[in-house]
Amino acid sequence: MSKQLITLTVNGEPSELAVESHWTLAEVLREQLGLTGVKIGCNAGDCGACTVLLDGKPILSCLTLAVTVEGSSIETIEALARNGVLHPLQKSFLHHGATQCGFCTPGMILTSKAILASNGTPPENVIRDQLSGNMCRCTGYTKIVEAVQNANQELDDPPRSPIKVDAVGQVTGGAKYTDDLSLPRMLYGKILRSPHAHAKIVSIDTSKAEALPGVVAVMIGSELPTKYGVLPASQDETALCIDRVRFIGDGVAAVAAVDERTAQEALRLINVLYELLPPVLSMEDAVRTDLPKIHPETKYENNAAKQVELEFGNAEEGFAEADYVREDEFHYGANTHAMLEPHSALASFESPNQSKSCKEGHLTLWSATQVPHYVHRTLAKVLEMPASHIRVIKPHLGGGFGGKSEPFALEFCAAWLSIKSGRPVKITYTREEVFYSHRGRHATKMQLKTGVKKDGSITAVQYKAMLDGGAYGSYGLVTTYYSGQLLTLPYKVPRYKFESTRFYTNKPPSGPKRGHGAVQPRFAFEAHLDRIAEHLGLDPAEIRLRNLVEPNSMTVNSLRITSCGVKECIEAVMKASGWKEKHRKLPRGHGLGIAASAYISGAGKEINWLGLPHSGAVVKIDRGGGVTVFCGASDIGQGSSTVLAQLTAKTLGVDISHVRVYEADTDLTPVDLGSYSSRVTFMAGNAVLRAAEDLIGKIFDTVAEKLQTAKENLVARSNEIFVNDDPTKQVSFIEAARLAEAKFGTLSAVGWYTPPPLGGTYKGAGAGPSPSYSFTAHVAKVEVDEETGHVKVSKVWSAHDCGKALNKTLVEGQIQGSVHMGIGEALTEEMNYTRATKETPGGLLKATSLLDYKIPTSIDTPPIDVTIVETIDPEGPLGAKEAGEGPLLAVPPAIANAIYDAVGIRLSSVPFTQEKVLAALRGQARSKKAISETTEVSAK
Amino acid sequence: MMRLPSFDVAIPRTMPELLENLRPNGLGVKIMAGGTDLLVNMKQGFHISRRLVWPGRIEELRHINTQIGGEISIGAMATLSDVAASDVVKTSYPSLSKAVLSIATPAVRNRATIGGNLCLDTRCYFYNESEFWRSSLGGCLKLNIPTHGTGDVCHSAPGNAMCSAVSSSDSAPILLALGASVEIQSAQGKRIVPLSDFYANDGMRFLNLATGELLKRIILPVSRYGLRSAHNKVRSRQSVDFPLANVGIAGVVEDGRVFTYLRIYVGAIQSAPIRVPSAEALLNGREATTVLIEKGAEEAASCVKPIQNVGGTVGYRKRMVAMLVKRTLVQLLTSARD
Ligand SMILES: Cc1cc2nc3c(=O)[nH]c(=O)nc-3n(C[C@H](O)[C@H](O)[C@H](O)COP(=O)(O)OP(=O)(O)OC[C@H]3O[C@@H](n4cnc5c(N)ncnc54)[C@H](O)[C@@H]3O)c2cc1C
Ligand code: SF4
Ligand code: FES
Ligand code: FES
Repeated sequence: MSKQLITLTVNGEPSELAVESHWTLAEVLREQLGLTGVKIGCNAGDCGACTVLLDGKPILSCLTLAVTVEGSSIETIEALARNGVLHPLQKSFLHHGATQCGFCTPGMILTSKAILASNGTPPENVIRDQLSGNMCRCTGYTKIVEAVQNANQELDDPPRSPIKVDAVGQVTGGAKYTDDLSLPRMLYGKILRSPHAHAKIVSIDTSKAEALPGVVAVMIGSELPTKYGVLPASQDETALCIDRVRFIGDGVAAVAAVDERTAQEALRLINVLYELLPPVLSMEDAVRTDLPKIHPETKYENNAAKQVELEFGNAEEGFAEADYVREDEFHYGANTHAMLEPHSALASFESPNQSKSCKEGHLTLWSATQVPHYVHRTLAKVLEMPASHIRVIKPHLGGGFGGKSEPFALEFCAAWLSIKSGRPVKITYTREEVFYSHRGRHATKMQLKTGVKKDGSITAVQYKAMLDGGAYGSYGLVTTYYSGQLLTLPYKVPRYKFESTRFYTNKPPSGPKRGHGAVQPRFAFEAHLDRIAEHLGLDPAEIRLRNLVEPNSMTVNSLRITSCGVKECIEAVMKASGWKEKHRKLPRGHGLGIAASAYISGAGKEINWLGLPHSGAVVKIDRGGGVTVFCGASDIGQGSSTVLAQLTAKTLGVDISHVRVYEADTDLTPVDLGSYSSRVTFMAGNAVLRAAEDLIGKIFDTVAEKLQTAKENLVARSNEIFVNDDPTKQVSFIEAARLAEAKFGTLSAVGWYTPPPLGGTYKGAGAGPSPSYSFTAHVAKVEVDEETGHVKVSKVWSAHDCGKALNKTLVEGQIQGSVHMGIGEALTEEMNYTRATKETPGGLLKATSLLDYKIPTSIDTPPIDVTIVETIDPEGPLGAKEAGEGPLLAVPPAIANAIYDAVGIRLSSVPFTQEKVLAALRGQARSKKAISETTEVSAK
Repeated sequence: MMRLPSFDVAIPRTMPELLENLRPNGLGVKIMAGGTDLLVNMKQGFHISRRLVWPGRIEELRHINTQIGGEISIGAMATLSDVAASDVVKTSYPSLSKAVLSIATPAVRNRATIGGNLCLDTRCYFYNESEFWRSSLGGCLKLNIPTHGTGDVCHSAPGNAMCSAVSSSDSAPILLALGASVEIQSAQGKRIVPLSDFYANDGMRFLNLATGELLKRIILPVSRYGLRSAHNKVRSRQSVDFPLANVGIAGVVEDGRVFTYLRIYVGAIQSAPIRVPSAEALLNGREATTVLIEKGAEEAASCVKPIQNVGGTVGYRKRMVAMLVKRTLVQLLTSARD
């Protein structure tokens, strides 16, 4: 098909373009014009990331053919800033902290521009309605709505907290994400996936694909046979399957071709012969011993992957002592991260002498990963290449939430195909492939037994969990421990016993998602505790307050608590929500629920147990006064680079604009383990702080000498070093740095962080301990439609103890984003699979798009009110601790408890879909009827 | 989502040119209106046609106006945003405007057309998936997979000989209830048919539209004095989502308590919007007490036969039909406007 010439105006400039009829506007804007501010989140009309303005109206460029916009005027995010001056909306987004990962931002801003153009400044509900096609997975929409509402206001006051250091790029479209990168001669890679849940690979014939014009390289699993896994104890994956496929979507072969369409076509030409095996699709299947083992090498005779049993104190004694012992069962459905940016990796292999031997060349991999260091070491292992020849760079990242925190098939395939072809290769997953990559929340079945005294004090807890791990190990071993270990917070549990088992099943692998391991048991326990409170006639808030752990204490399973503001959190949300006046007092259909939680600020033990620092940083000062921070920590949208810049700026007394952070590049930056388990602010923060303190020490030494004062009298602030009680005695920072350089040599310092020894000595004591814990409480308000079962969360009040809020806007954003994600988990998001029937073996994921996998829109997410509780952690950087994950944990139970308050049904299975809620309501109506009938009978 | 397969796009500038382009020519010509349904399906690897015809340049297909006789005429290529915002529509049939605003998202509505919404492909979760996903099961009655061929089975209801993919249009039920008709044109000529004759309850051949024919415009009759109408839908999220069930009801309310001339259409359950005459008969001419409304709603639900092929179980969707009918009737009774 031939190209057609079209003329149109793009961002004010008349353009003539040669396009093919079947090219979408998004493809043309991104690939022909380099306007990569147009983002592709789904390529199917479901997410709004590709929104552009067509003659002033927002449209989806992924569903618009370029030939149909001939003669029109197109505006992309790149057009908004004129002559270096930001558009008022862009300024407002910066000012209000309305960006996190920034992937939704271009579409959000463009839609907002159209809203403001047609409505002046409309009320909040209209803004939410008009933005409802633009999904944001990070912010919980609250700050975005604020930014739009206030865009036309003069921004007189400076922002409350420093603006994210990468935000300007995000609001202008300048920020480059992995898929926005391209290199000369670059090829496009694609992975062929298994259509069977469980099968042996008999043969793979790639000859036809290889013969297709435009195909440059093809690979199959046996070319990279080395097994890997993010945890040393579960090395059960290969880059592509070799002799067996374990879920529908497992990678089997990969191709690199001159364009994506050719690569797509080539996959159709690969012939794989399978021999089907009976699939193991549920935990009921997994306990059976008559089904094949998914990983024959395990020590269990069924499909168990890991089993843990621990007891602290004598639980039975505790139950004997109790006035009331309650047992409940719960189920938590599987759900996934659904970050807006799909996984993407670009590999470029260069060899000095055109050799295809890995040993001789150098490989650079740009990848949308939360963990460049793990990707680096795993690539070296699997490619059998010296790690010193590999460089991993994380460009701008469009959200992770745990879904990009281990190596993925595309990273190995892009690298290997680049080695094979001698050309750069980029692979970007389709939205469907993102779902197959999963590593999200484990579906979990839970049993809880708790003993309490009449006053509500807990005497013992017993917990039993079965976790559906999917096809591979991932971080599942840690999940298995976390599931039990973290249940002893935030309430005092004097005796505790748990049993936790993870199973392999033929489904996409489960792994770590925001609140890793702790979300399911927290739901169970908080819902369980609500029922206990009710039985004892206690206010649910009160029973929580009576059982709280205290600062500077130790849990029964040896978790060391230092700073702890959980009481303040609960009190704050009670006050903000009017708990005392409203709980159990609202009209039927409306209700309030409360729940509390705690979460780790990084794991006390590194996963490889090597005793090395968990985070390292280099800070250097330039003669011009510029400060550069090099740190492996990955900014994934949460703002870690901003926090590191702030810590450095504060310590050195310079304006944050003088600090530049280089992050997540294995050649440039010292190792940081990655952005997971809420460790970055705490650990990388401490590393950077240490380096900056070293530097300011040297500067103070020099300045003290010059100003004839003691070092202790000096203060660094506002780009000056001055004497505390005589500020006229001062030296500018630049001058001071020069003097220090003259005295000490080049100004650069390293810092690192290794957690102190933590945890008990028993086997399994390594999972759970953290140098510090954050605490959260939420009150959720719901409205239940009793005719449809629809639950509307109309407001959430959150309070979170993050130690010291280094950047209040970022902390609030993390909390609001967590609440959004928690609402989705509670109500609409679920990974469901087709069941086995007579005709079909089952195991097909039912939600493979952002249409079917239902993350809450701006209408489904309520305003989220945040109170930050500061406790100043003794070991955190300037007192800070975690804020990125903990606030999710208590959301589903707060909603469950609110539903009970509203309509009197106890829900035990997450998510509370409309259908389940309606079924429970009908059950309630039936039993009420039954009761009234029996009372009538007995009255007669 | 995959990239689109290659095809040509014809962009006629006049009606005759358009009709010429639609003549069957062995290329498997497809009309693309807003493309918000068609292009998604094509990216998923079905409707592989070598040629699309886009009537977006033909002004007359975008009109929304009141005709001399008082009927309202809406060109098939009018966008959903334009229909919802049109004063003509808002004044005479606000229920249509509301129904249209419940479709998809604002940006989709800026491109999607009313004609495309009426011709929307039927949906099923074994169908609206990628080529890869479907290759895992093999084809079904509705679907031929290039690498796997057509299946002779329905994956949703293995015993069924007919495809029951769901008519998911949010504008169809209300337009049907309002008694709309459609003008259909081809190079051979034009015909005007009641919208009810346009649909067939068959997931594969759900439109009575021959090759070469185009849905040209929608005609709404002059509003009967006292006619009230409303659309309601149940979905999971309050934006984006397709209906799990929807209804469009129009009727006259006499003395504020008696329904007459009721037309009740239930959508998103079967392969066409379903009229429920027995429910209408039960309700018409009697005092609309709560009990009667509930009876009518139950009757409506008992007339429709969902199978489990979109979100929500059969039981839930049937219940939602009853709920929607009831809710909508109550809304009609209490709405201030005549
Ligand atoms: C995220 C998302 C959410 C959605 N939610 C909803 C929803 O809630 N409710 C809903 O009803 N729809 C929904 N849709 C589907 C779709 O956007 C709308 O139905 C839209 O109105 C289709 O119109 P279109 O102009 O884009 O149609 P197209 O995609 O252009 O066409 C659809 C079909 O109709 C045929 N066709 C179009 N025009 C004509 C004509 N004039 N004559 C003959 N045949 C024609 C085409 O050949 C094609 O087969 C959604 C879509 C997306 C992407
Ligand atoms: S209803 Fe049956 S035949 Fe029709 S699309 Fe679905 S699975 Fe195929
Ligand atoms: S990329 Fe176009 S809507 Fe998601
Ligand atoms: S900031 Fe909206 S998706 Fe990340």
